[in-house]
Amino acid sequence: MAILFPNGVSRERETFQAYKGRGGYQALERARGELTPEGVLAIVEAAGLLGRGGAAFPTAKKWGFARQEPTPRYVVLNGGEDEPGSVKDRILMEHHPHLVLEGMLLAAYAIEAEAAYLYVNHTYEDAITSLQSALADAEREGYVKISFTLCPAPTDYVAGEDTAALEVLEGKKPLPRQKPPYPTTAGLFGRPTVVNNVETFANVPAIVLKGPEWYRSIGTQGCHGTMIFSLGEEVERPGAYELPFGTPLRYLIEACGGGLKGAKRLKAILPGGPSSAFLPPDQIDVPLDYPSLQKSGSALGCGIMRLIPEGACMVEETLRLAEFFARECCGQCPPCRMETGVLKAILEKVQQGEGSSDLLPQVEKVVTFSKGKGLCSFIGMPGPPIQSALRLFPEDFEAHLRDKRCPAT
Amino acid sequence: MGEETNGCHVLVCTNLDCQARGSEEILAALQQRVAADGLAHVAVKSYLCFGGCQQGPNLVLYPQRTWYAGVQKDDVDDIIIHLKGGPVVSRLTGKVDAPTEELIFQLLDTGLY
Repeated sequence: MAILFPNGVSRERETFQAYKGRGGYQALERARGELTPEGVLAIVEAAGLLGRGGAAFPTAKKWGFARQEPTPRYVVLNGGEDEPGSVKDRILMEHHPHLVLEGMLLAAYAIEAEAAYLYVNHTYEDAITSLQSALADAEREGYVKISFTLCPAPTDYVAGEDTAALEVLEGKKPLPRQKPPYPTTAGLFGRPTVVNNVETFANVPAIVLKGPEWYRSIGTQGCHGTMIFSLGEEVERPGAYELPFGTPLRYLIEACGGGLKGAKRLKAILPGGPSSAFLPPDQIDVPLDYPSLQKSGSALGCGIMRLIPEGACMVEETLRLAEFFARECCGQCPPCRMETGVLKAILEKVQQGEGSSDLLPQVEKVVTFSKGKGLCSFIGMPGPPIQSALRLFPEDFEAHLRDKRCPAT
Repeated sequence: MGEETNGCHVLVCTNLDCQARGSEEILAALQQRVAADGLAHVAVKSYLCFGGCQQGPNLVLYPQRTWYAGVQKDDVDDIIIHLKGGPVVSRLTGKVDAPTEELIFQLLDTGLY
């Protein structure tokens, strides 16, 4: 069952005519003709749509908070997509720009927004062209009643954080803001602002057109609808796959991805991007939904699956992640700077076979010390993957430290 | 690490905040004085971050476990005297909260420098 890609993931840009031909803009016409803004909000609330940017925050709740604030209000498309391995937002913006725009226009209608902003990863040139072209079509056809501004997003990891995105839209550096106030209260230029992920907006047209009951019939009891999952080069068929929530992970890996390349066996799963905890291979049947992943000890994030094949070394894997976090730390919060720098230094020492096994318990101390001490959630990100790797694969770390060898070689 | 465990390390933070407050000059001045005064047992090195950024520039003497914060170039003379066996420069100590100091000392104990 697919909501976003009923005809599979398109390989080319869906034209205005093609989108209209499959029912496109009917939801917007219905909303403007038959529904009040509150009515649209009530439908999205009844559908139980959860944000797809990683935090799974209820979308209608966010919109409702913004509606409680005085006008003018703004809507922002967060297409920064800097999560390593994520391709979903790019595909949606590049190949299905009208779906994304219609979702945004419905959100703008629901919160009675005065202006909309397209914040798009600046390296996604084709996506930017697609959105611009789709916007011109929609304007010509009379669907666009508010101003739209396109803003290229820097590729720093934190630039995808919603308040950092607002800073960039205001012409500043991508540095997260102190919360509260949340963007729905004081967002862009201090005005109430809804910032939603691309995939979140893309879900809205079908919800408004087909209704919440239909939407809730897809997925699980707690997670309705579908999610786009990204598979990387480690499988036979990498790409983006839209599946109902609750689909077993095995189905994604084997039926969609064709299994690991070279029929390798699985050593570990990183199911929710670089900030999720590693899972052992016996978790391969975990249902892909937020509570199930949480119960298994990890997180679904924004659906980027990384699969670690047997023979790989978890010291190398975690060092790569630690290097990523140290590199992408924006430097604003001292404890975060210390944490990401020290974790990288610890793992470098382990990888080089230096230091004693006393190094390893320092990871937990540093993570615990830093918990909650940053402006944004970044400070909490390096802990889960590194700590879970230490817990699940202690022998890899010991091989480096005690035997001075890498288990992968 | 390891090669000078019997000696003393002066670890100077050169991360953003401390650097902006002049830690690289302090590092260079300390290195110069240590060489000029023939303090062969002292190694002056830069350090990635102690997490005490608001109180910087920070430097830590290890294994003495002395944390000097808010260090200025004028303080270098007194730090050199301490390294020669003189008194601790007490005006530069006690500025960083105890849990942060303890965490950093524990990290240094594991050889992370």
